[in-house]
Amino acid sequence: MKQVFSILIVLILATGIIICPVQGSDDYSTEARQLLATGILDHLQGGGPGLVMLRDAATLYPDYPRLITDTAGTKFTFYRPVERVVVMHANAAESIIAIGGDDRIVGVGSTIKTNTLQFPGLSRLPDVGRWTEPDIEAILALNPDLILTYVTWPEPEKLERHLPSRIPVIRMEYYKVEVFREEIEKTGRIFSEEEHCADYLAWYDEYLAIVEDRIGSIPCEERVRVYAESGSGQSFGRRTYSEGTGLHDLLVAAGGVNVASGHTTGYADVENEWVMHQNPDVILIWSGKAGYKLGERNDIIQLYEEIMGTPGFGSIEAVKNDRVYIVTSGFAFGTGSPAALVQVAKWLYPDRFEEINTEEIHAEYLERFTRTGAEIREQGTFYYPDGREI
Amino acid sequence: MSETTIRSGYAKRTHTRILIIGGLFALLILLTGVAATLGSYSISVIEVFETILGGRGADSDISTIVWNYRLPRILMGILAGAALGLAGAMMQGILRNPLASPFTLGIASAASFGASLAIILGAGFAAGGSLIIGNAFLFTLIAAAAVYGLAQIRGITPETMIMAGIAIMYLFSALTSFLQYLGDSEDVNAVVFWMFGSLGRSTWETVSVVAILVGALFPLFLLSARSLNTLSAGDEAAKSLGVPVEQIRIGGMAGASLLTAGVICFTGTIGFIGLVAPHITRMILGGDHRFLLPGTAVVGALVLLGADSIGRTIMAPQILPVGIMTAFLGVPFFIFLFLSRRRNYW
Repeated sequence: MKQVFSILIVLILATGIIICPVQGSDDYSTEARQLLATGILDHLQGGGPGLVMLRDAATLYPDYPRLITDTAGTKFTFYRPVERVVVMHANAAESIIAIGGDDRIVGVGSTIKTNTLQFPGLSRLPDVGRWTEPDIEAILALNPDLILTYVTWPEPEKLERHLPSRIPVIRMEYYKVEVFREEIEKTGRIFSEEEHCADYLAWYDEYLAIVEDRIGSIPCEERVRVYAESGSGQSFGRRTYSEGTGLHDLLVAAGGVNVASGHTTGYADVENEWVMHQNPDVILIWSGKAGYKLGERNDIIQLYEEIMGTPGFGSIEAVKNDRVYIVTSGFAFGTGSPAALVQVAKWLYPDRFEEINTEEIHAEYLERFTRTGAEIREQGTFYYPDGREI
Repeated sequence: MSETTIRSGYAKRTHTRILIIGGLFALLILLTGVAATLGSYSISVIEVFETILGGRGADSDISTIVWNYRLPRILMGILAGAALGLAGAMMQGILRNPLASPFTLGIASAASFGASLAIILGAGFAAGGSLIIGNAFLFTLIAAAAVYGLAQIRGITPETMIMAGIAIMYLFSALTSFLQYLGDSEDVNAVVFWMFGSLGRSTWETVSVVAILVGALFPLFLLSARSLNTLSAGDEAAKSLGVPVEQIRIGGMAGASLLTAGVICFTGTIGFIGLVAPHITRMILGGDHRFLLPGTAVVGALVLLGADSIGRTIMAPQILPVGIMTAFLGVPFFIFLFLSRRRNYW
């Protein structure tokens, strides 16, 4: 009897979907209708998402179900908005904050937990372990309806394998330029924050367009030659960043030519004499120090001074003309990257960006799209030289 | 066989060994010359030698490259190779064990732990690395003292020292792994880089420190060569011939540890030189420590300088860390040795 009753409800739902025009006639709703019909059919065949999910999608959430394909290529169907999200890595956390979905986060990875100045609210939430070593029990105790993590880490053997299938694990990077915009759009759909997402993407697109407008027409042979490295000085070696790295993508998007292109890929250790031989116009250093961590400004200044004082580097154009610049990871990658892009483009082509105030762009980003406090805006070192007194 | 025949045979063998050491030394000088001309900056062989002989202005780029980068790197390669080879030969001699080396006895693990401690929990690595150097040196000496202390409890014998060394190696390896687990990705990267070993951080100051250490300890090692030869007959035999076995063992261990610490605190952990250089030399020159020790120093220098030269040219401009290159060269050689060594060469 119960089974008959259940089938009847499903049939009523199905009839409603087919007969009633669901919230307009755009493609989005068509997709929702198709997904719901598929879900009902799956349910009738003994699978599918379950009656409660189908009922909620049909009656409470007219824009649902939604199909999301993550960056790893896995497809997920959401039958209602997510309410309890576990976020494993900081790049995802800052993106969710940027689109206003952070009130649905219930657990965070250790790197978010310890980053109290960048994530003052999220750092008070329960810790679910490192992004390489998740704490499965802590995750299960939070009863999440979604987990967000990197494409590669933690490996599925460490995460999905130990979780019930009802908890989807979405894998997205939120720092790689080639997929960043798409990932933000998908996140907006997952969190049902299309409006905030559109606000953020309008800001994102505006600055990308400004840079493209001003540097797009520069012929290849006139572009500034840049040597990019991770700045850890003598004790770590001279590590250059080439194709396949975020720093390379950033400098190329800003109109530069990486001197390591064609010589190496990814990151590679090179000799000081190779840098001298390349004689770059600009040296761009990436550092994991400072940014949202106060009290590390001196580390950044030391990187600058190490380059300027390296024997033989005085004859390099970049050093001779004082064109050595440092960007921190909290600035160069992720949601704040348009501010970094404009800044790097201005360093490379100062005359083309004369009237652009890069400090204001970054301040606007911090104000509108992060939850950081005044101390970060006033004391944070995100790039160097930044015009502030030492 | 008459006494004269034995004496002339011995004199001939001695002469041959000296000739071989001379030949190896000549090869080292040749390799040094070749290595000085290798690099990413296009400098001709003539320009390099003109610069070394003082024929170029001190402020030119070529002069900076040759004097500030290439020569310190090459000299560090020679000195570090010699020091690690000597340390390995001394440890193998005093412990009468072919597997003894600064790495199998926990010395290098301790240095790695010291460096990791500085990189992950300290603040020294961005400030020029002095904290790393100091920590690596300090923990190397602590490990040597711990090996000695543990061994002394059960009596200083080769077996107790090796057992203590292995225990210390595992302890420091576990501690290093624990620190890596705690560290953020940038710091862990720096630790991994340090553990690969590199001659790229060599300066005239670091070369001078290693040169002083090698210069001071090499004669002392040579002075103990006869005692080491006697020791190879066994502790009882050596004691009956008046060799102060425990003193030699403690002194040798301290000297080998000091050499290792003095090198790897500047270069990071460079594997296999301490293990294979003495074996190569023993196969060529035999087990007499009067020839084995100087021979090992030259062979160690040749292997390390050769590995570094290959490491910085094979994928140029990318440099492969010398620790990896020595392992690439050392492991196949070690297997070859294991499979084909002559009977009783050890």
